[in-house]
Amino acid sequence: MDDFERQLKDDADAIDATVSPALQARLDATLRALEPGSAPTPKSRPGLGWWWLSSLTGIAAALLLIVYLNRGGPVVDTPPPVAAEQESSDVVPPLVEFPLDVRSAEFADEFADPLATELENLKSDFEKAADKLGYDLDRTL
Amino acid sequence: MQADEDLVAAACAGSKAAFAELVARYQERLLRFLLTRSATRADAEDALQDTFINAWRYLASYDPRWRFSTWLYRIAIRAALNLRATDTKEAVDMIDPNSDPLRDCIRESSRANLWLTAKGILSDDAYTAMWLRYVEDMSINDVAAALDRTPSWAKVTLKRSRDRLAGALADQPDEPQRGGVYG
Repeated sequence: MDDFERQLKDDADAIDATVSPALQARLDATLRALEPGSAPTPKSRPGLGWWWLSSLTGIAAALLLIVYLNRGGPVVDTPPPVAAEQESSDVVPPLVEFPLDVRSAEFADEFADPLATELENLKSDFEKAADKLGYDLDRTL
Repeated sequence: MQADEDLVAAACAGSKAAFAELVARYQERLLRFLLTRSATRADAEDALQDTFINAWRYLASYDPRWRFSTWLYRIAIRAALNLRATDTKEAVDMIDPNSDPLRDCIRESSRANLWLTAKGILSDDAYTAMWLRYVEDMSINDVAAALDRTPSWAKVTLKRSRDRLAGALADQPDEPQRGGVYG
């Protein structure tokens, strides 16, 4: 506690707050008037029982919902027994190679054209903005 | 000496004697505080009475995580505010603007009372924060709880109020300003 804090405390003590007999009589009367029947009773806080009950109800509801939603779902079949190696080669279709040359040739223009147009628009906007800025600067200066 | 919290528990069980002990412990401290927050001594005494009545009424809602004094001061602050808010215009007009219960209660001293100076330059909440911290030795958290503010607010307000009060003291002339007050 530094000097300032001590001074604050001393000055608070210098405030005369003696309870006068009249005030004491009032307070005593107040205490007498507090009826035993009005004695405060601690609030019964919602116990853990309610907490558990509500939690379990929630969990049960969630489980029921999950079961209900999955009732008509696809039935997962057990995987067929693995066939012999020579049989599997008959079942699995041979891999088809993707025609890379077709992809590059047919789709290049389709993808590039909009981008090129957008680039042209941006260039145009940029030139307009530059012109406007130059005009404003000329007017200002 | 029984702890406040034990007395509260006994009072909650219906012991008026335990509550009377709490009243005896706090009546002077609270009255001193309320004298700084009220327009007249009569208001301070009314607020004191209201504080204890409300404390009894709501004792069950007291949360033992906080100090009992913090809870009680919170009720006292509200009681003082309520009294001020319900004062009729006639009652306000009857109050002598030059009267101050705090000034009338300060014992003569060779220097200016810091709390009287503080009352002139600090807001109500800042003043109360200073009082709770430096007179009641409350922690920052308790000060914040009593005033329904955040701990950050309490910390900043205390620092600024202290600086402001120290500055005001430095500017004060050496001689006492008001004969009856400053001695």
